[in-house]
Amino acid sequence: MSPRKPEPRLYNRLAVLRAERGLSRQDLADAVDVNYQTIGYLERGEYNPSLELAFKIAELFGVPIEAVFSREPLPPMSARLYGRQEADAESA
Amino acid sequence: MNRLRTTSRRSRRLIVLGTFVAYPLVYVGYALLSRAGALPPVSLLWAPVAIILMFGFAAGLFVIYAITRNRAEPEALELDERQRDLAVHARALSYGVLLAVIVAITAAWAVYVTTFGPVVLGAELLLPVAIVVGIYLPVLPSAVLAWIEPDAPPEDVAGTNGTTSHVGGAAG
Repeated sequence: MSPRKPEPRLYNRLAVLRAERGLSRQDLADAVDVNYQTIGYLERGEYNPSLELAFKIAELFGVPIEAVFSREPLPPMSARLYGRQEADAESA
Repeated sequence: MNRLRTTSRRSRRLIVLGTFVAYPLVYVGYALLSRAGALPPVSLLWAPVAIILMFGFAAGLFVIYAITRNRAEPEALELDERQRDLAVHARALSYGVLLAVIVAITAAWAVYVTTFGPVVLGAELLLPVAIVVGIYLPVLPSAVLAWIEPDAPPEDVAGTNGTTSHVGGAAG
């Protein structure tokens, strides 16, 4: 039984977004209508969601889809926010 | 039941392997003893082993069904997209396994017939064939699913309330 060709890895911020909102995996799973284990596989990057599921998750968190999923490793949100504040201060 | 669903892949594979090997082992062991002209005490010793193997076979089937339940059916409405994807993959692999087994049996049969002469099929083959067709074939997609499904995320094994660990785990 040969394994399938591995899909390209999709990075995500699911765990961070979920923790910020105090949601359990079960809560998020219920909200987007999937099994709670699927959320775990998504967070570990072991399953790539369909477009529909990716949009559902992004809409639930109220952020653009590219803020949740990316083909490149995502920088920590804090560094991004802090970096932006510094850039704003410099331009002002 | 919940504990069965989060059984590690290694354990699941051992269960599948044990289940699919146990029943043929009963026949292989008996055939070897018969061919060797084993004395009655040796045959009597084989009886408990055969009973244990048959029990293992039955218990293995139960556990495989308990682990996968209806998740091996891609048409099941309660599956989400990941589970459906896995079920489709398991079904496709089942066909591959079945095809490989049929080809192997046919090839072995052909070699035997051309080397040793015709094979006489007696009524004693009826039960093994019935077991294979009636039990092994229906359980094959579930067994393949139990074989291929990756381990559940660690927090899911302990519970479903993983809110803080793994933060940024896949976020890079």
